[in-house]
Amino acid sequence: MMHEIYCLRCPRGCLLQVEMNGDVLISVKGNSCRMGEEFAIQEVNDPRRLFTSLVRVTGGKTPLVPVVTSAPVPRREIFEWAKLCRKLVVRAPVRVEEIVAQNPFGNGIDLVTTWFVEEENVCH
Amino acid sequence: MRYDVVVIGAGPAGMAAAIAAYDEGATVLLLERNSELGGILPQCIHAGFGARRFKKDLPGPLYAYYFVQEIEKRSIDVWLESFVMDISPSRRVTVLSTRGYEEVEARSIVLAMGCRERTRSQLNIPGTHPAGVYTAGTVQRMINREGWMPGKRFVILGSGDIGMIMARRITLEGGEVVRVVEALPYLTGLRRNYVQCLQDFGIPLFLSHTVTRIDGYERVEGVEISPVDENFCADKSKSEWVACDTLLLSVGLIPENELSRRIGVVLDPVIGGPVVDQHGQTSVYGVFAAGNVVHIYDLVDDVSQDGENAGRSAARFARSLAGWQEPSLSVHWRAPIRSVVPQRVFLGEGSEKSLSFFLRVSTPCESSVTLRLKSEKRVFYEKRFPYARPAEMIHVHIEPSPVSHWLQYPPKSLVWEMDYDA
Repeated sequence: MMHEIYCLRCPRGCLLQVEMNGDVLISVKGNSCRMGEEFAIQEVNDPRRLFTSLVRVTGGKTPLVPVVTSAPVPRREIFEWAKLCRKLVVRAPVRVEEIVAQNPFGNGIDLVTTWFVEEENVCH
Repeated sequence: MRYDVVVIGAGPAGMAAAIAAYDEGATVLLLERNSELGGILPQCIHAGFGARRFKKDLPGPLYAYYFVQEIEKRSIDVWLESFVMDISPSRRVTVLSTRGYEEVEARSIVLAMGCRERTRSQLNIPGTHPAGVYTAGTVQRMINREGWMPGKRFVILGSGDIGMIMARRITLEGGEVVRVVEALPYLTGLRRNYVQCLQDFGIPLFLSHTVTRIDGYERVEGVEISPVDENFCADKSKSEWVACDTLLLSVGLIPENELSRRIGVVLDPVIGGPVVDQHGQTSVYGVFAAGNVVHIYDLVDDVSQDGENAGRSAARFARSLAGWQEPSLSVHWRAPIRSVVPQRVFLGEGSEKSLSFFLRVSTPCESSVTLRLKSEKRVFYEKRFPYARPAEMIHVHIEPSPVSHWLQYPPKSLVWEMDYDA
């Protein structure tokens, strides 16, 4: 079985031809460097992406805080992570690099904030 | 009030410029019209920033935060919600803020206002003027900062990086992107964004197609999409009507130079940013420029580096005040090179160390090319590159710098050339 994939390791983006026999890799062609080969093996067996999204904040100056997964997650899990992000709510103030969900899918990957939200000034 | 260096704009270029100027011993004022530091980065929640500087794949906000922390460590004066209205020839900066109207005296100024997006009016798309036509960055702000979805069914015009990244964001937030159309026969953004943002989610890309009509009265009801030839002439006989409620435009960025124009900075006619030398010095004495205000960068790491360079130079200028700007050599280029920055080379003190250029080509070439910098007598730089693409800027670092040679024997012309290898 032949797969045609673009390499994501650098901006050049080589078009790789990956030949597989079931789960066994036979050959990688079209790569200009070693990284391409490593990427092809990873991408065909277990494609992973860094996932970024937003989490709702209450009592903050802005209604949302951006988040990122602490490591690249399996691509098929992405919509699960998106669903989780829509459910979560945190209270302001939120600091940078705070964990908002610890290991939610049991694969050791956390959800971490990437920006801060100050508390809203409340007038009494 | 008096400062050595006043930096206008607190995005990646402005923050880096302020830090570098301060570290060079200058008193620094950083002016920002928004209510927070970071410029556009806090809304760029996707990863892919800082690969070179931090050797990590960082989301935009985190990249900005590292600079915010550096600013906070130093006694740099930061004025938020402060809008620069004018700069006088003697470098008095007029600022309008919540405190009212103020004037600041600057020994040197760094322009770091970034860029703005091209809009529907610059494209002349025919049709009605309903609600639901947005630029990609506006939608990015709505979704990532304000927290609301501007539509349900989207068509995206332009295959720029922001457009593709927004296609992914919209899909993850439950919206539908029916297609991405691009008038050029090739992708204008990075290929890795095509894979991660469109291919991963099965969003179709139509190259050599454009939007030829917008329909709808209260709200966008649909758009007409037609194939185009190499002269961008649409073939209406093959057009297709696509129902959607939102049209998102990702059709390029233009340097934000209202202020530069006001104070008489000479602008590059092709890219719209100030003509600068390798220190970021513009045609106006004591005024420097850095980042996307000069030309549109691909990577934020380069923007920060450019900011540092201009900030350091502005601080040195503030210290000496004399001997800058002249003498300088102008740099020329030939097709297929579209633009070169810097467009001038300053030959004065402190210019001997190293010399960097950023070049962009106008047409893609997937086979190898040779890039050359030469004068009438001599070749100063020559290198082969495996490919050249309009979407990817070519960064050339020349070391040792030929400036000391040019000081002794000033060439009549300096030309960048590119040859296709057979």
